[in-house]
Amino acid sequence: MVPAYNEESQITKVVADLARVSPNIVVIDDRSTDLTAARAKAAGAHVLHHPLNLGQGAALQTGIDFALREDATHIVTFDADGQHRAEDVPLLLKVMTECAAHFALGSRFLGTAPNIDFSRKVLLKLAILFMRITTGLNLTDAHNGLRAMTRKGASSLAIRQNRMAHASEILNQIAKSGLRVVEVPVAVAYTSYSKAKGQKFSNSVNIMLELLTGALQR
Amino acid sequence: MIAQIIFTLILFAVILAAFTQLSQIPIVGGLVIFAALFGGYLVWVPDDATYLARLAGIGRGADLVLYLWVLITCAILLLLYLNLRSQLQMITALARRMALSEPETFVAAPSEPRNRPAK
Repeated sequence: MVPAYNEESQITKVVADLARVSPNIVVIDDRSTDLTAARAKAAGAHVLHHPLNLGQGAALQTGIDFALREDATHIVTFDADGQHRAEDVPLLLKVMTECAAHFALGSRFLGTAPNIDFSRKVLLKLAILFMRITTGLNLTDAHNGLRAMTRKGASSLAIRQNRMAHASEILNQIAKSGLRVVEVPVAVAYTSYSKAKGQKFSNSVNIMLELLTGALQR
Repeated sequence: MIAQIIFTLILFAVILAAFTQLSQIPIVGGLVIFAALFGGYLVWVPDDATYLARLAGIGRGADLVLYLWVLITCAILLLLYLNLRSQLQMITALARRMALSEPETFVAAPSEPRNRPAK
């Protein structure tokens, strides 16, 4: 499952790579203004179209709803900017099955993340600490878009944070579900493209505000 | 007396507005109602403002009223923001339904039997 927004330069390669390890690829096009959707379809993905740009969190929940409706037994989320390796997908599923877990979360700090910026590393470490305090989950990575989940795990999620706060919200809901979760070493490749598309330090303030206001809402 | 009535009417409107949001946003709605009721109390019993201000370590009763007004304003802004979020969630649900109703499914050619067509 690949949420995508204006990823026309990467999406063909991402879908082609995933096609080597997965029989079904779903790209959720979050109202891109470029050729993302057309290229994803041409590369062999099922494509869902958001009629307006809602954010990655909203796209993930749309993909989860679609996958559950299509009787998927396992779901893997994968970023569209090319920073993940398709080879890590079978590993996630294997470890999740062997550990009888319902969630397998990719960890770049157990695996590799060459070229990661110092500021990004600090930001991620702070996010890990924050998640440890707020959820009790003892994880080594907090905002990794590469995750696997079983049908039961996916059914326990109801993402309401449309934008980037969804990563924290997912961990929060995983903790609340009480379902078993494992971490798997994965590689994250930081390119100039993925760095430009990735989280900025200033976004962390927005994420905190979104989480706070989300908690105030019923 | 006229000013007291006007302020009371304004605070009453604030309470009504907060009450309508109470079921969806209980914490902020409750805070607004409490602050507005407290404001109404100070409007009708102004002498207590100085006493309560001193208790709170603020000093002057006028300052306490000012702080309270700022608090009510901020809480109303937060209430409006949360209301907007609720609207966005409804729009999201609608957009999701549209996206799910018209999936563009990939059907592999016979020579490339890969993706299972979605139902």
